Amino acid sequence: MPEKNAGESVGRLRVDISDALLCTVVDVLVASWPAVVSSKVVTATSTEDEITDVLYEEMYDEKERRELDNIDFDREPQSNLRHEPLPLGYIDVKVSYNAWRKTDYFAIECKKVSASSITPAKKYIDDGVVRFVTEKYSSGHSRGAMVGYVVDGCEEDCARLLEGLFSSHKLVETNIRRAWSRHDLFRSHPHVFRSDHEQQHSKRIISLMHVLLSFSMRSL
Amino acid sequence: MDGDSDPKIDSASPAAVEALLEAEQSLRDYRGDDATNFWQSLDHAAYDLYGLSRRDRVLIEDMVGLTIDFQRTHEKSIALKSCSTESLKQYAEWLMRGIQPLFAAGSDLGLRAKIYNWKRAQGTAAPSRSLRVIEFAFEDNAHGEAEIVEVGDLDAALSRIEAGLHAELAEGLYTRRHLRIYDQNRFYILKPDHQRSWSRSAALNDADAVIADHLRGP
Repeated sequence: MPEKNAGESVGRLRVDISDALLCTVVDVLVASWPAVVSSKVVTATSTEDEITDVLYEEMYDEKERRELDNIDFDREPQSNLRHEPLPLGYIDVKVSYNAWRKTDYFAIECKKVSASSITPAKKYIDDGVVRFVTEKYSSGHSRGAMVGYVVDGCEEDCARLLEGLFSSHKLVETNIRRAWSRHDLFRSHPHVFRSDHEQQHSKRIISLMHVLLSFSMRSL
Repeated sequence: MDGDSDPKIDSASPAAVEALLEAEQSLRDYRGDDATNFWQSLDHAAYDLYGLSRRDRVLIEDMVGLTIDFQRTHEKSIALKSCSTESLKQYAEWLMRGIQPLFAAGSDLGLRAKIYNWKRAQGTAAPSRSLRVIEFAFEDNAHGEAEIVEVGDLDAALSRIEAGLHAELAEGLYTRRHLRIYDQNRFYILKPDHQRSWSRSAALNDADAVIADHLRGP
């Protein structure tokens, strides 16, 4: 076997491998969604956890099909290490890479959203976005992702509702530093958005990728 | 490994079991001198039975063919023999296979490899090249092509680079480092001209190293 860490590197590529990796993960996520819906195992009335269980399985299968052997998905692992004082969090789907350190991962938090009710959207922010901001998980990370399961209406209506809430919701500490906008990096799925937030403890900016997936699948 | 580490014959694919038994019987029946192909067929049948991925198969083959051979035969091992251009091409293809899938979404970028090859200068006494070099480039619409590029003798230049790659880890303990050079959209891998350095499993390891070099901040 080749020796690990026997190498020495000089310089840096201009190509952004980190972005490429995240785009690949989101592409796997989006590509897995039609199988979740068509499986009929879960519907818009299923719980978030039930939907995420099925999505996780489909993502894993899609990863295997693409031979992404070095990327791994974990379902609900604990986010923090024993010596860290930050509150314990369970990540819905934790993405890790073979060459990453234990503290390096990409967290995906999943919530339901609705075009007709503001309650799920508030939970999306309070119990989703805020957890990245308070560093319940992804402490000091530069990127994270939220998945919105669109249970009624279309993705764009949900996006407008979330956008409005981001700009007007004063009750929570979102520490927003870059307003909700369409993600310019991810081209193969139209309903991917972005918002940037300052994390409370590390003071680092985390860029959240928001992926909206509809049970109606009209635009897939 | 992706497959079951202990497949139960009763629940395994009947076709896979049948193929394994046939391969074993063919090997038993063979009376010739070179049974390499029969052993390979038996290996492949076992891989199929265990449901091993291509990556797993490569790791096993390199472990048996190079690592264990090196542990047993030391300096006479095939692991220390000079590389053929074909084995370098395989290395390049497996390295690109480790990185290329990350660029499948939202990007037209792909990888292309140039394997530098040169004839040794006449009268050179050294038994083999000191280092070998492969250049990888991210280019639009590249799809993992690997080409051999004939160049002038690089031994003198590479020998000077190699001299800087020897490092003392502790008193009496030395290592010869491998080098990854990144420049814009290209990177170069320089390693000793040994088969173990340019194996397919080394390529998978190096693909990880290239990605790891860029996942953290500069």
